[in-house]
Amino acid sequence: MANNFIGKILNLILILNLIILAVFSIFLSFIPSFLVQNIISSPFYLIFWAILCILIIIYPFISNIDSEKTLKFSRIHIPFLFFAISIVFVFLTSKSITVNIEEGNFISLSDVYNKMNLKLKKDSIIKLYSFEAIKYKKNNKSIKSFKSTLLIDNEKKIIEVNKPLKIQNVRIFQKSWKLGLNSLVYNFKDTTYDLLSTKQLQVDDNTYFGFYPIEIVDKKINYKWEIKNKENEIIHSGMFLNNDDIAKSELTKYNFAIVKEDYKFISIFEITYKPFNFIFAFVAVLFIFMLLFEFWLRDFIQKVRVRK
Amino acid sequence: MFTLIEFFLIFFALVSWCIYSIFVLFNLRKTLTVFLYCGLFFHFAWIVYRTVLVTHAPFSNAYESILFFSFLYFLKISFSKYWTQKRKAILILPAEILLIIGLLLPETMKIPNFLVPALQSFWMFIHVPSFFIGYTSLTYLFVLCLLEFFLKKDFSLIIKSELKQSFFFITLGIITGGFWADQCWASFWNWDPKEIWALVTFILLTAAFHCESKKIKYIFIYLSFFAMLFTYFGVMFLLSGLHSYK
Repeated sequence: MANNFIGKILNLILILNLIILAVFSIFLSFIPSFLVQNIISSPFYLIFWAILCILIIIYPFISNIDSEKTLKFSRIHIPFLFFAISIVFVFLTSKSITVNIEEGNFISLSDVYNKMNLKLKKDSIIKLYSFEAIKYKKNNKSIKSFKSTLLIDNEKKIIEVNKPLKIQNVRIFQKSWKLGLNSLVYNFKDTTYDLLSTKQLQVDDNTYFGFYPIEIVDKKINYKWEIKNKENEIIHSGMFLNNDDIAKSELTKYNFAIVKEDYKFISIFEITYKPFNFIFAFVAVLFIFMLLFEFWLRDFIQKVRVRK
Repeated sequence: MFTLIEFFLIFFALVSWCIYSIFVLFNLRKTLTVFLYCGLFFHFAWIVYRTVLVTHAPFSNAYESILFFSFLYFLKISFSKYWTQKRKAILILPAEILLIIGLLLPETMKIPNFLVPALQSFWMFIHVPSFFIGYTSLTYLFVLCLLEFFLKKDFSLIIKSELKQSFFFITLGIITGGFWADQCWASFWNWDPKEIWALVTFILLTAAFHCESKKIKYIFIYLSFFAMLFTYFGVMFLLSGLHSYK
């Protein structure tokens, strides 16, 4: 606690600063994410974090506290200061890009490095050998894992969620996936159509038929179909589930059938370059350890010493 | 069948604690510690049963985490040597409310769910319990501040100790969450609503730590508690983001 007037003023500034930061942060949780990115990188928000760091630096010098209190102050606040600096440092030195690779296709590591403006030691070819959405055996519905098997210089490597892969100085993360169609041919009222070229089909003067892939289930696609009127209002719709005969029969009155279904998986990867991640990790662990030390360990050590 | 066993385990735990609270509060019996431990036994049995049933840690959805949270709180109060039986009966009220909320949740929320890929990490066993231990301390802290206000007694020593605990564990939760996010989403911090509200709780607790006036310190503790409630319930049911595992 501050024992002089300036110390008390600094304490008041600190509390006010923390209130502003809390209010700002609450505001951030209610706005769209694209606006959040603009606000957090604006000086208007960063200035309050900067004030917090400045207060930590100047407090022991300006307020009249003794050496023991300065030491106690430093044990938690200096690691916190390092923690804050490391966040900024890691943020400024990090780079990341999102890459989509279709099953069977490849990218070269040099392209990735070029996009990130990094120097490459040795080029490699990264090919998406296969992508699987593995399901739990028990219910056969919930996804257990998204697994991308990569061929890197003809060597198989696997990437899953929570299990990124490190190649040279970058890490590749399984971010997401999507479904790409090579071709989808269907029959509607005895005429054959290709979904890729005709997304919406005019049946007669007043009616349109649309057919959209929605979800992949065990190497088969589920579709949503819609029949719309001229005003673009849906007048009839339903699911076409490949494994469900009942749903199929609903469409038979329209003489509907899938002739050819050929899809491909597209794996979405996040590739990051964070050369100073270890600094952040070290400082974060140091901060936690110093909290632990200051809150409980120091007293514990003192008690043990007294007993001895 | 499974739901029925679960229901009875939780119901018996709740009944045990309610008997304990009512009998002690209304001076019907001076001590009924056996009911306190009976409640703990049934609640722990639920945790073991649920873990076996879902084959993962029992804090992966709202229902499981509410009951896990209340268990930690009961555990904290039951083994505390600081309090008389009567005070314990008052202090366990928030956990009893949590148990009732857990029991009243719709059946669809109680169905054992499989872990989504993002949740399959050892960080789950550090990050989530850290937050719940922090939340438990913060709830306890909130009740202590209220008790001090109404009973006009000084609990500042225990409040200081609990403030340290809640601050430490919420900080630990945020940092371990950052490590996990870096492994799963390729970034330490994503400005997701849950992360933002955890940060708000951290900021308010920091303010509580640094307040010189006792009254303002307690106001910040109340605010931290409400921020924690919003982080937990508000973000879970009102805001969607990376932490919405539906």
